[in-house]
Amino acid sequence: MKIKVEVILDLAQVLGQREIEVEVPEESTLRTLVRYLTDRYGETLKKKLIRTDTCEPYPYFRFMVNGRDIVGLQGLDTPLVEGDTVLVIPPAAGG
Amino acid sequence: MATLKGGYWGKILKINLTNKKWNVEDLDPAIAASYLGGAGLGIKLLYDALGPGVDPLSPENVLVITTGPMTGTDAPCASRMAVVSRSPLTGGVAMALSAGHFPAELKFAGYDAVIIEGKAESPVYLYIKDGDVQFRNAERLWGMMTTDTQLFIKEELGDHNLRVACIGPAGEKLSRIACIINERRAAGRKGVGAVMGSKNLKAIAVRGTNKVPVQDPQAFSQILKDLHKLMRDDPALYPGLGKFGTSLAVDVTSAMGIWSAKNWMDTGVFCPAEKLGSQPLDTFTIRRNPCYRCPVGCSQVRIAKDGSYANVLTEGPEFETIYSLGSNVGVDYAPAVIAADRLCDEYGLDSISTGVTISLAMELYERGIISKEEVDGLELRFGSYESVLELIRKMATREGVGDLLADGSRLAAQRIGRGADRYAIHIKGLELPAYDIRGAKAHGLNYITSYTGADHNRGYAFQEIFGVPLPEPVDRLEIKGKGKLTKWNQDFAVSCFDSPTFCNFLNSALAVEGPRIVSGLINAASGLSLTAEDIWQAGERIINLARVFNAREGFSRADDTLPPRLMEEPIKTGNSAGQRISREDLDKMLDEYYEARGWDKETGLPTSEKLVELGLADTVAAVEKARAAYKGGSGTK
Repeated sequence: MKIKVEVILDLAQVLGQREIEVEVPEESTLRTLVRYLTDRYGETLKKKLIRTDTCEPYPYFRFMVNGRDIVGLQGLDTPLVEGDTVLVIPPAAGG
Repeated sequence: MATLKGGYWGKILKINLTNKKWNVEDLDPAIAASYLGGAGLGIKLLYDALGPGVDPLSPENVLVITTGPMTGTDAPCASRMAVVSRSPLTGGVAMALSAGHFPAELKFAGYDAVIIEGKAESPVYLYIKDGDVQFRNAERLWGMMTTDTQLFIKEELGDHNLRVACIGPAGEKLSRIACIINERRAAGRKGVGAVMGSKNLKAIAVRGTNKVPVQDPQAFSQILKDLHKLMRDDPALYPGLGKFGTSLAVDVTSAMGIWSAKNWMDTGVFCPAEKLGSQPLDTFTIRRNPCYRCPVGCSQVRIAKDGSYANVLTEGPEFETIYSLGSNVGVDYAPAVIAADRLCDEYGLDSISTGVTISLAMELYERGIISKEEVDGLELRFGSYESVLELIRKMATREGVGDLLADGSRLAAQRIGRGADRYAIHIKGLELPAYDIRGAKAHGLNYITSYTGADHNRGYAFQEIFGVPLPEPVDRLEIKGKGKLTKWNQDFAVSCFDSPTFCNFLNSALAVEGPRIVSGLINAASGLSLTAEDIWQAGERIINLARVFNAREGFSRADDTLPPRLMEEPIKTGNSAGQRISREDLDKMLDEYYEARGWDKETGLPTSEKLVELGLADTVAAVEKARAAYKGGSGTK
């Protein structure tokens, strides 16, 4: 199934663009998608996104599925369906 | 109560402009311990100085400027001051913070606070040099822009090291959205510049040569090490804010679908982050300009390179201005936003309120509610940056249609009539900042309940905007839990930042350790014995006292509301599509918020029990009078 992935700031530099469309297996979760992305974009993305001690994304990286923070869903185990949009925001401040 | 051995001077400078006399009074250590400094001390001094019903632009109003126990010390990011008064824009508490170098200089002069009373017979400026105060003729400065004013005063006094806070033409013309400028920083919001103008006070020049004492330098230094480590460990402070400044928030809010656009009609639809985001704006940056003792240096000096605004320089535009004079007026041309930012600074206008008032006029023009003749023949469509710049000039000088708009969106809508108030984007008269709160509910509840009106920094929901999972992760779109979170954010902001006075940009770094660090530093500096819990309680006390001040002026639950658009019209597209804050959602959040605060839900006023618990028993009678007079209607003036 196709999932739209949106990224900003330095993540957009790693991925080369702000939006990509990826194909992941049916019944994938957000965790599957993160693994897919780190496999596809290699060490540069992995070093930025994944803690080496827990193998989980750094807590300040923010994931939203269709605009909803995953804290209000099922975290990284949030199931994805065809056409979902996943937004990943790196640490930022300001305002 | 202990005496103050450092951090504070224990001195309040009182200046009367009517009779040109001044004196120095002692700061009661108990007041310092209860209200900390900065915003808290300013609100306490304001409350004690004014009875209810004082016309904000009359000589009876006071202008209070406070520093905090950290200002001018070795603590990083603490050169801040609070400017406090009764707001001519909202009718409630005005509290506007500025930074840069002036606040530290004022502290070096030997004062924790300056209270300015009365009105000078003709324009004056004040020269505070350590223990001396001079009243100086400012007639030649009247009409002058803010940069020229600062330079003129330095030249006249023969000291280029002194610091100046001043108003521009907008403050002189009593624009209720006028600000006070020091260097290129602003005590921007709620019309404090108009209060200064109403007193015929053009500027305050200050030169201080005293080192702020710290009673236990070793302990102070040890806690500072903890603070610096927390700052270094913050994943966004140095790498993000230190490099790009506040423009980072353009990228984040636009991706989330909450970067407001075109008077809040087209959030997500008009979203020019590719032209106004951190990367494109970085191409205009020529250097950073940190505040006194700030190792982060978020402030970016930018210059327009070509086109109509070539060579125009500004410090900024900050995220809020990129919205108010960019996306919100339909402008995606960065040089025009740079020029508009500079123009607001020079005229001394709050760039947020100015932009949101202009966007109101644009919407009214496009809807045919106001005609071309009424706007002096300007083509006032969204995106017309030439019209934006011309309107800024007209507003600051009250020329033509500028006079109609010079006092902000609420008064402009009232003057226009014809249903215009439906499109005015303000809360309690203060125009809304950049974040479209339909997609960030706690951030919204803070706008709604802040003691100054729609003010993002009085309880910034960094959990919702930047996903900081502290004190716990939150879902930005959820209603439940936001009352408690908003109380936490507001108490945290006023106790750990606005009062000591630290920069709010340390909020993420200090989200866990803040009250411990702040209490430790104040104790090491002053000899007071505050606990982390005392800091939290001081925050709650300050918020309650501000609420009491506003209650005396007639504010109540009815004023804790939203512009109709935000309740009725959902965001059209993007990652917040479909979001709004319905009346029912608003009521649920308010009920939870009042309950968390110990305020009664019907009136939104503090209960007598809560006031007594916070040591505010002397305010109970004022609140009970307001409760008895409560009829459910808006008391906003």
